[in-house]
Amino acid sequence: MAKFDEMAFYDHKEMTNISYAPPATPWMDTPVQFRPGSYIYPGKARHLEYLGLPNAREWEVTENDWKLQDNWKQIILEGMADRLQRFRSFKLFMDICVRCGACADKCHFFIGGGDPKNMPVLRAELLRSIYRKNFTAMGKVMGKIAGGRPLTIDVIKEWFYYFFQCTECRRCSVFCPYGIDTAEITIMGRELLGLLGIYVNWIIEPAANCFRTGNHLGIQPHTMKDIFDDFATDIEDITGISLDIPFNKKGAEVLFVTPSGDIFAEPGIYTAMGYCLFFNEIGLDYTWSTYASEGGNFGLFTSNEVMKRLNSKIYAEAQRLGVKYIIGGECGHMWRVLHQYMDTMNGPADFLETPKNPITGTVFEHAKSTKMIHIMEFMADLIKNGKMPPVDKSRNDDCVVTFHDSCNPARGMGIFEEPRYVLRHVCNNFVEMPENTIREQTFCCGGGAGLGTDENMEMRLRGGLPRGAAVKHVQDEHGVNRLSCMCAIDRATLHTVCEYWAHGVEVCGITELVANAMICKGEKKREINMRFQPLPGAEQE
Amino acid sequence: MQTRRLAYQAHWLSIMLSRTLQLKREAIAQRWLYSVYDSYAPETAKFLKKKKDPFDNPVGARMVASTAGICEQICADELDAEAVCGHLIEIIKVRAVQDMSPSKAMSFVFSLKDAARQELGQEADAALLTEIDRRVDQIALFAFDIYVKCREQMYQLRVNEVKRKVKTIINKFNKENCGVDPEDEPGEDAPLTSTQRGVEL
Amino acid sequence: MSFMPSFLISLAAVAVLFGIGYGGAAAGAGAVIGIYVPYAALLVFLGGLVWKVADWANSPVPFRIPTTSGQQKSLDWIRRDPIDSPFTKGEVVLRMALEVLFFRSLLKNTKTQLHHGKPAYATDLWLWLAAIIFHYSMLVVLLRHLRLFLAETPFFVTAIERADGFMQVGVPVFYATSIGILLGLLWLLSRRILNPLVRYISLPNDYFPLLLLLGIAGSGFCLRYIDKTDIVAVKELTVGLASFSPAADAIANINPLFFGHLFLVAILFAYFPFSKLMHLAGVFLSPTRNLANNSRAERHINPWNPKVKMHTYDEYEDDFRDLMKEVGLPVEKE
Repeated sequence: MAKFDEMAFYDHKEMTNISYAPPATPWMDTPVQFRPGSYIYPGKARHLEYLGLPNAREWEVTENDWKLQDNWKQIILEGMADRLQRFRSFKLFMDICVRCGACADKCHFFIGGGDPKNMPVLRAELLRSIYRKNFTAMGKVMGKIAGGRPLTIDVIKEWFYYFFQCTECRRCSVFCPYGIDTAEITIMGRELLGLLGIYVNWIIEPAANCFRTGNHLGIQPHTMKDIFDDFATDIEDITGISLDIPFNKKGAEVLFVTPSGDIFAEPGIYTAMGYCLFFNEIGLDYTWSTYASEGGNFGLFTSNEVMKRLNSKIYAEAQRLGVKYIIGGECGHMWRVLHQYMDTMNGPADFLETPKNPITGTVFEHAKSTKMIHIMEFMADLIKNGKMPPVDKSRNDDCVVTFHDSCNPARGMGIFEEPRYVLRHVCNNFVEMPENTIREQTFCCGGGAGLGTDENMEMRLRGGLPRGAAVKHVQDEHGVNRLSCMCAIDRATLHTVCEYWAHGVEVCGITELVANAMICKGEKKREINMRFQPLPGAEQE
Repeated sequence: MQTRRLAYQAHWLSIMLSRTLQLKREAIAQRWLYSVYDSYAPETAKFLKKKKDPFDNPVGARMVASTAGICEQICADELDAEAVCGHLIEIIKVRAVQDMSPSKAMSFVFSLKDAARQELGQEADAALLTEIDRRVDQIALFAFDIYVKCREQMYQLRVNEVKRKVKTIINKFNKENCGVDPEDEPGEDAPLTSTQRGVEL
Repeated sequence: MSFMPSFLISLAAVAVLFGIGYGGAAAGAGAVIGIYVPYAALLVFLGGLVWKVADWANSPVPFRIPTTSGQQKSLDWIRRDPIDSPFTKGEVVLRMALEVLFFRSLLKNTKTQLHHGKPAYATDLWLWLAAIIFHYSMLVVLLRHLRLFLAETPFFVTAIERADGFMQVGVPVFYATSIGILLGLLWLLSRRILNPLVRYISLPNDYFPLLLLLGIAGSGFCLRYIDKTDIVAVKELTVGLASFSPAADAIANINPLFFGHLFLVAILFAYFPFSKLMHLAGVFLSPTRNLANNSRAERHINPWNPKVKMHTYDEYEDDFRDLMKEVGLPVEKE
């Protein structure tokens, strides 16, 4: 590929022909073009090696040769055959799509970017065409007429481009009359690419880190302790309360797990500090863990095996520490894994007890097998029973808050009311975004499922447009300046999306707002919020 | 004498413009809008045209409002730079992050010339067309500025994101080693992030 | 493959198939087309259907992955959505029933929001409507055909016919579904051709079944209303088929058009199990719809749950023991 300072980089035809319609080639005959900003850097060999994944090597997306195994075709076809036998979803979704087009305009990447191959149905057809050609009688005999196409290196490149341009958000599956879930298709596509050692670094590095250090960012135990010591200092500066943050504490009642993104990056850290303050205030006997210091699971974006390996630490640590049950923090895909996969993969957790709120006595029967509850479920229960520490809502009066339903908790779990209940309890100004952009129809941030890195910023910004447009709308209409969400990836990526599409809207977690409003026992006169910004009203005094 | 004639010409032009163009404004805007749509794949163009819900189709909604707004300016007595840029930003922000080359992203401005010519047809007066061309060229220059600002902002966002990711370390390092309170540092988004900046041309 | 070849190939295929049926019968091969082909097609259909469903069912459902479109069951006082986030088997059945009988997910496609005071285009409602009209007309037409296969017409068939012929016009009475099925199909086909978005994703596998069904419905329409055939002879043949004692002598009295119709039906049956038409059966097996959202209350079992290499706590502590001790984190082994 030519460099930008070489003339060959520019498409002369395109430059001289201003008013043109794009070439009307059928999609099977339109190979993918890699433009910087639209793909993610490939996984580094050492991370693949650490996880024991195949074909570890250094390679470049824009090079012609992707350094695949000699028998790569065989590997893909055998991999497909194997997965067709193991996943009914895969087999069924390959067979039953009628291409009605109901999903076509539901994908945020299609809406914001306009690339027809981002229509969910076509994303799936990328795989389906290979399936038909190699696994169905009609496809074998009739080939293209039956919608089949041969497996070539261009197909692999196309898979790479489009399966890493899907955030597995499941919005399309809400509208599909047969429930075909593109997330499943993308998961399979990525597993198959993985057999050839084709990963993106932004997924595989966190996965390798998590395997070794217990969290995606690779924070080692002593550093983590340091960070939390700093949190404690900051919390003392803000509230005047000195607190002890328990780590790896044996015999605690509850193990708390949350994504590591929140203990390192802005604005997630304010939410993490909020957890510490909240648990301290209600006097819960809980502990953090350095070994299971990651709730998120980039294995979900790699393969079900890697997902299981990373997830295993949570139950293992709960057992080692002898806790009664587990509470999970605000995170998106983490809750997809915890809610829909963990118990199946690494259960049964019969060494734990059915979660019971020690303060209200509520038993969380709906989590009686997995033994893990969401912090919003826990907080909502406290509020309902009047056991939540008193709050001063006016401390959040500088915020006009809206709530972004993160894809996975929305469409892979169904937690809609709890966060709203908590939000309404801690802030006075809460506004919903338009109906077709929230709850089960929520739009993705454009950076989920391992796309939240910076080299594909262009792709992310166009994917974030539908969400950004909805935020901009409530910003203009209602003066919204705060977008709350329960997802660590959202907190990182929506910040950027808002900067571009709805400038002036900040992103925060719900627990941050809770921590702002909560009146703690023995606190000093609060003048600043968790972000060290003056509380509303404090400036005038 | 010369100045007088020029002044007269200008006066005449503005009357011509407002009379002829006002009549055709909506038609030109519509034609232009469709040519903007047609710079996308046909199936995408169809979607952009068809879906009217501003949240299900944010791109289309922006384009409808902005092309109409710019056409209003084309037909006004004077080009109001601020208003034009306000509308241009809405379109260019989108096209700057879509998968297209800069030339393609910008091409939509020039198709306004074609749209105007096709709509005015036989009635078109050479002076009128020249004036339209002049205005479109002016708009193209604004558009170029805005496009570059958008791309610059995009790269700035990359930098900001990386900075936020390491915020904890930097704060810690500063506190421990330099005694600098991180809150005293200049804000990370101090340079060029304002969406308004495109207007301040 | 682009639109034209896809469409033309499909159209040619249907035309040729119809020609085989029509011409075959006219050339005296009525017994083959009227007796052997239908039996063979039925065998392929049943065998294929069983094989395909068994094939799907053979692949396990390793994870519980319902698409949740409503509030989960959590705290008692939070109102949950039993249909879009079903917790019990009964609720799943309800969700599936709404899905199968009313195409509920397609219905979600509609937007009735106001934009600048005007209602947004509700085009997607048309897809739902066309689908409903086509599918229900198809069902009624199929049920009406039972009259041809049973010596005694069952009461519900008569009832359906009475309802279907509510317009009380024409001789024989004009059925609403006769036109419904054709309109539904034509709408679905024209949408596929005229909407660039859908045209782009369409394959010959999409045009062929539509055209095949149009051929069947069209020829059936002709047989009933225009180029009528000897219905007594047809019934003699079909009742014979159903009772496995085919009456070959009736064939001579039947309009060859009937055999064109019958042959296309046979092709449809034989094609069915190997095509996207299997969505009829597949929708019942879809794991994002037919599972309860109760994965935290009841453990879902993955039959092939893989053994994988874990990174145990002991290994972790070995890696970091000194660093942990340095900051006062408790360790298992000193």
